[in-house]
Amino acid sequence: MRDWEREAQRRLENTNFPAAGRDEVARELADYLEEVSSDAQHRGLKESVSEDRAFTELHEDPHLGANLFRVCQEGNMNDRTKRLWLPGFCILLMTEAVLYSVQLGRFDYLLWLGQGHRWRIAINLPWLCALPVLGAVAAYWSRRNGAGRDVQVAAGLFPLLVFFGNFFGGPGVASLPVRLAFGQHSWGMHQLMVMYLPWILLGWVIIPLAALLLGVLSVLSQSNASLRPAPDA
Amino acid sequence: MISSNIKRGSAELAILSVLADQSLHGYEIARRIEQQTGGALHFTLASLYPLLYRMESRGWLRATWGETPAGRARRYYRITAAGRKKLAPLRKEWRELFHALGRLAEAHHA
Repeated sequence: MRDWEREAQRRLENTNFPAAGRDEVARELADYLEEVSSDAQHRGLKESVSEDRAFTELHEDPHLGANLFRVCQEGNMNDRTKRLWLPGFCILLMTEAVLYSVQLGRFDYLLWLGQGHRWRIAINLPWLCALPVLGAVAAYWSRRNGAGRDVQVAAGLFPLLVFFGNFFGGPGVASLPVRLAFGQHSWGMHQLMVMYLPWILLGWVIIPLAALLLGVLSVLSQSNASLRPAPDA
Repeated sequence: MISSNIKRGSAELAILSVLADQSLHGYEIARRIEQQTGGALHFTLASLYPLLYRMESRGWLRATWGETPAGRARRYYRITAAGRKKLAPLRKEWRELFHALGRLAEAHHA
């Protein structure tokens, strides 16, 4: 009796499949070939003829391996889109939309921490409250499409890009060296900005990131709970 | 000559139809289609698996690993909600196509 799994693996040898993916496809093809062969024997054909029939089917299309690899690649790309890019970008846009609507609607209640001290952190409170929900939605969306924990975290923390955008764009950090070089910025102002940068970073990046992470972790902890076996009665 | 799009469309309809009521493994899918179409549609390994994988990646099918009674690993396919959603308009399209071709053939005979 032939080892169909080995035959199938040999058939997929010259493709770009990663080892694990190739083994899985070979295992599935082997099951099919086993069935072709045993079905033919049940219909009264000799074992050798039945096996030849299955072997011919395996070698019928010279591009079988390449075709399967192409389709699997398409599948992987679709999975990545569904699990990471789509939830990530949607939540990124929603984060930005919430921030702008809060600002346009003048609901941006800024919470000033460290009032009266040298350091002061401004936090947009309504926006901050929305972030755990948005982080949780992205992680849940990603999980629903079959993502692992790392991809769920990546999708949930996608708005980090916006935070850095706000940080660099908002206080004009990115353009600071240029403005200094062209004398459009006084040195005193530069020192002031440098002094406040850590607090701006804290208010616009670190604290919002923690809020997002809170939402993501709530989804991850739920998935952990559902994986845990029920305690014995 | 039938275009590859039509061939693929009919193959997708056949696969979704046989999986509409139960989950099946690859060879069983091919066998059922051949039986139910009286041998008019015949799948081989090379024509079946790229199509199954493509339909799986589109979310129309979901596959899970199981075991045969003999302990061999086997992958079972079942139709998803998205697949069922696709099946209804696909059936309608094909019915309309065959009616149209039938009318054309009758007109040609008359």
